[in-house]
Amino acid sequence: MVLFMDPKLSSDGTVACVSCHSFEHGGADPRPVSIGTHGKRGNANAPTVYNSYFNFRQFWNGRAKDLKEQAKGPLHNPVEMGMVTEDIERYLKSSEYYNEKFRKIYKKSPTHDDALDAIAEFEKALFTPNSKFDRYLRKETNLTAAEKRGYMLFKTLGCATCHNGINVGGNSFQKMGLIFPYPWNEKVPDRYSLTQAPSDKNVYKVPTLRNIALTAPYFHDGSAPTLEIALKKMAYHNLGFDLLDEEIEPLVAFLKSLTGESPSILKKDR
Amino acid sequence: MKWLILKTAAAIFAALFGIGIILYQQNSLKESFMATQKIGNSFRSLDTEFIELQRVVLQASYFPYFDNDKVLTQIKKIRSRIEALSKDPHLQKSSFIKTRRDLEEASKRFERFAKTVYDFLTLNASLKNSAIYLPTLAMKAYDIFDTKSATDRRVIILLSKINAILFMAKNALDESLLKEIEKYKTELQRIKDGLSEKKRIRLLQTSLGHLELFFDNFPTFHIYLDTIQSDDFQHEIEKTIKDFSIESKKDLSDINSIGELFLTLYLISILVVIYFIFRFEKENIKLKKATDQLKKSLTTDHLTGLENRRAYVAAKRRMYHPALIVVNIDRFKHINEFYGSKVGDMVLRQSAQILKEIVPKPLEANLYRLGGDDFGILYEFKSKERTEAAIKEIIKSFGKKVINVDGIVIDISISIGASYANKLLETADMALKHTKASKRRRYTIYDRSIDTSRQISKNIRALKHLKRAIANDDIIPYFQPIVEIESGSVAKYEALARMRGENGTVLEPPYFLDAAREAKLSGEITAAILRETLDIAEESNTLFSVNISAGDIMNPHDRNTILELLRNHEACAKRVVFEIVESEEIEDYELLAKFIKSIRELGCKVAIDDFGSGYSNFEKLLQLRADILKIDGSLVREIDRAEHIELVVRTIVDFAKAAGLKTVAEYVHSEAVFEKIKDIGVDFAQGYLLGKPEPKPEPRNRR
Repeated sequence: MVLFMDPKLSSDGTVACVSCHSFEHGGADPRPVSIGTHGKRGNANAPTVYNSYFNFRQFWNGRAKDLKEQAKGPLHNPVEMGMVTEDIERYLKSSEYYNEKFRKIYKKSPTHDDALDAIAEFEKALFTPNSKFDRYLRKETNLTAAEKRGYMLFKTLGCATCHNGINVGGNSFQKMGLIFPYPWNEKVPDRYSLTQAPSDKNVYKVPTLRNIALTAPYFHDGSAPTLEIALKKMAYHNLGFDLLDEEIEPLVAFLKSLTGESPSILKKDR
Repeated sequence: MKWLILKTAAAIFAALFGIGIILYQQNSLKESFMATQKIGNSFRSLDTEFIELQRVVLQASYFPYFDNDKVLTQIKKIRSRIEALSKDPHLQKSSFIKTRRDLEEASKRFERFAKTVYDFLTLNASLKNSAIYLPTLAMKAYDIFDTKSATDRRVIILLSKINAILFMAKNALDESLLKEIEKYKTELQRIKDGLSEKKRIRLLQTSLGHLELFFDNFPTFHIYLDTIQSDDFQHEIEKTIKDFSIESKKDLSDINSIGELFLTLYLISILVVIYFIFRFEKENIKLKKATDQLKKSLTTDHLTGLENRRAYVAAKRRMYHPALIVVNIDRFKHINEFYGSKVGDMVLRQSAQILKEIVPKPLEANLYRLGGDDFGILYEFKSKERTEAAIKEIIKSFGKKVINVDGIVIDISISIGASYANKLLETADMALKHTKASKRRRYTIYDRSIDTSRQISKNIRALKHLKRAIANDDIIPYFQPIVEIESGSVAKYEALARMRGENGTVLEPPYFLDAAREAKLSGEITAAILRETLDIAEESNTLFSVNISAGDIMNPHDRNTILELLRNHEACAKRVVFEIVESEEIEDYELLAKFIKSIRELGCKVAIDDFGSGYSNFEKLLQLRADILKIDGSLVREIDRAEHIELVVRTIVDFAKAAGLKTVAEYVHSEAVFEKIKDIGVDFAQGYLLGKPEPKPEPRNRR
């Protein structure tokens, strides 16, 4: 957690992991795109770090197979934290605090790899259990009429086709703009940037819908500032129709029931 | 010893090594077998898990609501199983090179498969949504289009047809229906282009979008699904399993053959151990033999082959109530001196052999050579009668046997002492001495009376009795006739010393003479006897012979007393013969000769007593100028039985005749002996056959 919140892990000492994965904003970034060292703008809205362990892959385009691999990305990305392995190790070794902690836990002085491991381990603890919907599924509570209707629409309109599983998403790649194309440019962090396969253009990892009410703005480009807009956009581009207001309202109610408790590791610390 | 320890240690080490190796081999065989089982099971699980993955993918394709996590979890499961298998230590062995290669291939194939599954999931969601959404759009068409208008109805019917064909195509995975779909798509496009109302256009446009999406992606979707449902990966796994089973069979048989090799080595090491044990045992047996021989030689008498005194002592200790018969060869000393020790040894050897044969079997006795010419017969005591019978049997049987050494027949008699009291050997020896002392007795069984007589003699030795006897004139002569063989008449009497004891008993010389000699009182006894004899001689006209020892003569006091007595009885002195015991005591022959000369002047005659018993110096004898030779009784007694004794006696007689000496044979106890000495030509005879010693000289004729 200390590493996660340490801005000295960035080249100019201004950006920490937590800078873009804010605990006040459901582990995500309230800015449309993340801003790195020296005010450099990134090309994507940072996805939430909460429950990220349950995603089948990491990053919008799933280029990292696990959290440890993911943590490496922003640390080394020149527009994010802009560090190199040697810088990180030098910094950690110079710190009495880190030296002592690493020796205690890893039985040796700090290394780059162990630092990534420590960050990943912390992130694993960032899960948000017992959302209202979870408790409903466990038959511990009941949903309001609006939430229930939202859940029904969520299933019948085809949202659940992609947003399913433990993270209500995060378990497949899907195309944005199946019916009506979504704007695309060279900079978007899609599957195409990895595979160069035309069919992978605007294909992203389906994001989790857990805590979705907290993680505005939405989409890879942060182009939807509210849930209502995000819902409308998804319906239009991927289903080809406009959602009615009487459909949006219960859907939003349902989505809000996906907000869980804040991670216990953060509570304890406070 | 050092080598033995080293060898033993080596053997033990080899054995432990062998056992260790076998245990190790058994263990590795077991481990190998278990590892093989485990891996085999894992491969089979992999197969099952893969089928399960295919099943959930199919579920994903057909169920409208489906949790993709199921697919991902299954992929993760298979992936980690493959990873665990490829890291399994057992498979790292060189024997499993093919399995490892197969597994690597399977892993690659699975990763390709997983990629297809991800792509499938992407495509599947779109197609599924379109398949769900197109009917919804058709429903909406009822609201937007007018069912009463024929053209509008055609749109609704077309949408329905599209839904039907799409349903068929997707669920039947029938690509041939795509042509139909294309036809409908073109028609729908045409209708849409002819429309003007925005709402209607939007609905058809959306429908077209979905249809196009389906039309474009269905073939790929179909390929993905086919790929996913193909059993390529399963074939790969089957191949791996097959190669693995071949390789593990070989691996197990390799371990087995190593085990057989070790077993052979182990057997060899056991054989080596057995060889060492055998050799050790052989040496042990040899050593034991040597020890036994040594033991036997320690307990065996080498001359006779009998067990020796040491063995006797050991045997006696083991017995409940031991009885011992000591057999002594009479006059063995003479045999040794006469024939030499070689013959003596032969005599002992043959005597031992004879005794071995004649000891009564029922006695269950053991025979020992106790030392010198003493043999011991040791047995468990039952009764005195039994012992007596056994002794008689032994004496009788021994008498019948003949000892023949290099053609010389040596007649041998035995004396026996027996005992079953405490201090067995001591008492038996005492009994033997008793036998020997009596000269007539052949055997004695020890009892306390023998001890009593010893006690008396001890007392006498304490001089009390003896001195009193001398003072009280209790030393008296008994007279035994000496017969002239030719005429058969009594020629003279020998005065034998007796001591009157308490309660009127009369004791023979063995009880007091030794004591008297020790106390230098033998001269007094000689004087007492001479005095009495001279007194008797005054009243008769027979001849008397009196014993005198060389010691008496050497003592001036005794010598003078004797000479004085003779001078006082000048008349009788002529009828006195002095029997001088021939012995080593004669140190001063000159003095002896001088004494003899003195008594001769008084008319006395001189006889050499016990001639042939021990020290017989013919030359010295001649110097003494004796008149008579008395042949030792122990020779005479045996003369009819032992040829060599007869020879000795003949020699003595021949010598005496040549020297002009008369001869007297003592201890003539039987007719046979008498006939023998008569035959040999002895002049006089004396013994129980002819007359026992009596208090008075009783002239009596023979026969």
